[in-house]
Amino acid sequence: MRRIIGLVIVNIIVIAVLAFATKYFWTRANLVVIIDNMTLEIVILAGYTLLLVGGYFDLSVDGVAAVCGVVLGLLINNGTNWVIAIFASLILGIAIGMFNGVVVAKFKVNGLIATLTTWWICIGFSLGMTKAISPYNFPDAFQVLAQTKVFGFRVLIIYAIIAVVILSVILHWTRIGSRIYVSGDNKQSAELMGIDTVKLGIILYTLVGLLAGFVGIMMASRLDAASPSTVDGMTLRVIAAIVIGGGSLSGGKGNIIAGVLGLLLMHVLSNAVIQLGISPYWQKAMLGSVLLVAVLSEKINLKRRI
Amino acid sequence: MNVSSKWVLVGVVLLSLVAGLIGGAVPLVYTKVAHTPEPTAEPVAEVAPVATEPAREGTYYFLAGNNSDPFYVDGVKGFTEAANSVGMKSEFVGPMDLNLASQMKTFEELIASPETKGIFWYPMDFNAGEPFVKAAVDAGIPMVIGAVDSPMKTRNAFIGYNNTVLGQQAGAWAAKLIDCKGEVGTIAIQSSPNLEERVKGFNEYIKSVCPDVVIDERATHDGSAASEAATLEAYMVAHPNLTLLWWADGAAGVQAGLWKDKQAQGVKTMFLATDMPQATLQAVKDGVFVGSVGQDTFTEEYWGVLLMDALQKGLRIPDTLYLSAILIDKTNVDKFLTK
Repeated sequence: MRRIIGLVIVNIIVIAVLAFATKYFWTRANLVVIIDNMTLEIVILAGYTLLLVGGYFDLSVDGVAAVCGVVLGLLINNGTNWVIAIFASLILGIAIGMFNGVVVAKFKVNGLIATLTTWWICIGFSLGMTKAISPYNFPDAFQVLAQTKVFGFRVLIIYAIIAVVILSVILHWTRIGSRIYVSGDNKQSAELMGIDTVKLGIILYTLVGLLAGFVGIMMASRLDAASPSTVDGMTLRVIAAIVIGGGSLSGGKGNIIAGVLGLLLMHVLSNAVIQLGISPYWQKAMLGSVLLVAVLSEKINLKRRI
Repeated sequence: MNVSSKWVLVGVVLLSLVAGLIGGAVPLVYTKVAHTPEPTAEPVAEVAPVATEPAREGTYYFLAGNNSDPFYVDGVKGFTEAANSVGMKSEFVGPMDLNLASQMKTFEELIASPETKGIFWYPMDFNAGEPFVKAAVDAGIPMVIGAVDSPMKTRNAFIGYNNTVLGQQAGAWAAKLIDCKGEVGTIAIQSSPNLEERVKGFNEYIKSVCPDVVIDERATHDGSAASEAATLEAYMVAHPNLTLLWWADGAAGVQAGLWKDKQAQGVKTMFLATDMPQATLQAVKDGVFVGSVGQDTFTEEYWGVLLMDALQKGLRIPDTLYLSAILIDKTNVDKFLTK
């Protein structure tokens, strides 16, 4: 809870400074842009928090999203009904996630290496199937899925809220959530307590695969194009946000709401460099510095409390 | 191998087969653009059909960066066709992202390989590549640079666009479109020397001929569609009075749907794109983009191969060959769209 309050305060301070320092930051249009561009990352973050808390790691999310989007785009452009194409893409996402889960949880292959190879394979297939030319020009009915507006926001915000609520409930108020925490904290103890950590790992990877597939489909709907590089870099941003929100890379710790606040901070800062007209050469240095300060200040506060 | 691992293996094979079948069986809708050299601002002479020579030993390599960008599709086609016409194998190599170290590693490997008979290089950083350019030339490997020339000039030849001039062409067009009034801005991918030159040329031209026009600091994206969309949306909020936006790299086409949505919301900003991917050309045709400053990469890479081949044959070649950008708008876009 302290982490959440801390991040709320940091976000408020940064937003307040930007609201005074720039002309258009504190406008409805800009806030909509920030939220709209966070939503699909929130969907992934919600599932990824469970995975990370469970002590697992997945670098393939960008690739799974890309290959699912591309398969969907090619199917639609070749005459397949878009509803069937969506199901095919989601099944592909689930299959890849399950495959990751079996390789990592059952065969104990290092999650970093296993999912890195899956990412390569997925990106390779996405590029190979499209020859780097994004399928585009999808039916209007399909575009509605991501482009419909709700109170000025894209409908994606609803999906994000649903993902956050459902997965937060699962993580914090159900037996499976407790098992995820215990398993991530100490797998051997979890097994001694009768928790099937293999099954749990497969379920978590499958969940992330499903959400990655969903994100690939929604990006295709939002942009009316399925790019093979649709969300490159998203995995690392999501991991960074979860860690800023107090998640541990070694498992056992993490909170979806705190992760969302970490992600908000990153998106606010990315937006700030454009609002402030900062030279592109300095953007990453500025982003990294502010995030470093945010993470360190939390650590310092923690030490003081101890 | 126990029963479970067999099932995993079967799963991998099946997954690969399914994906392979989808990739192989589903023909791409987007056939390549028919090469039409006539609409260039300074017309290029018609390419005479070159009789295919008997197969020769070795390979001509096209070494680039961020190779997943659809910008390369036409160029690779030109490169391949030219190599075929002289009976040589060809290959498009380099990192799929903006990874300089990976491009340099490939460069070093190409120089060390006896298979390499010529390297056509799109520099990500000509300073970093300079030792390799020298090493290639010293090893007798024809070394031709495209996209952006190295100031060291140690390569055998350069063919491509003067990016400052390309930026000026875009600037001149933009100045005409906005009648020297209002506000202009640019968006481009980060870390690319040719784009730096391009945007500089654009801004300087606007500044010189339209001193009253406000020029906004450019914004950058990381090459992913999500990052491009986020940058575009944030930029439009930060600059609500923008009269014209120039997207200075070749990735604008993927954002056509988003821009169409903006137009439906009442955004009046003119969107000037760059290059000739099908999605970009379609957006020009549909009136979503006001136009595109097209680089005829087919010609660039085609003649890049012929320059390397001439060097292989001991012929004298020009040091520098500049091409001129094609200004594509509604009036001529049909010539470049897939038939």
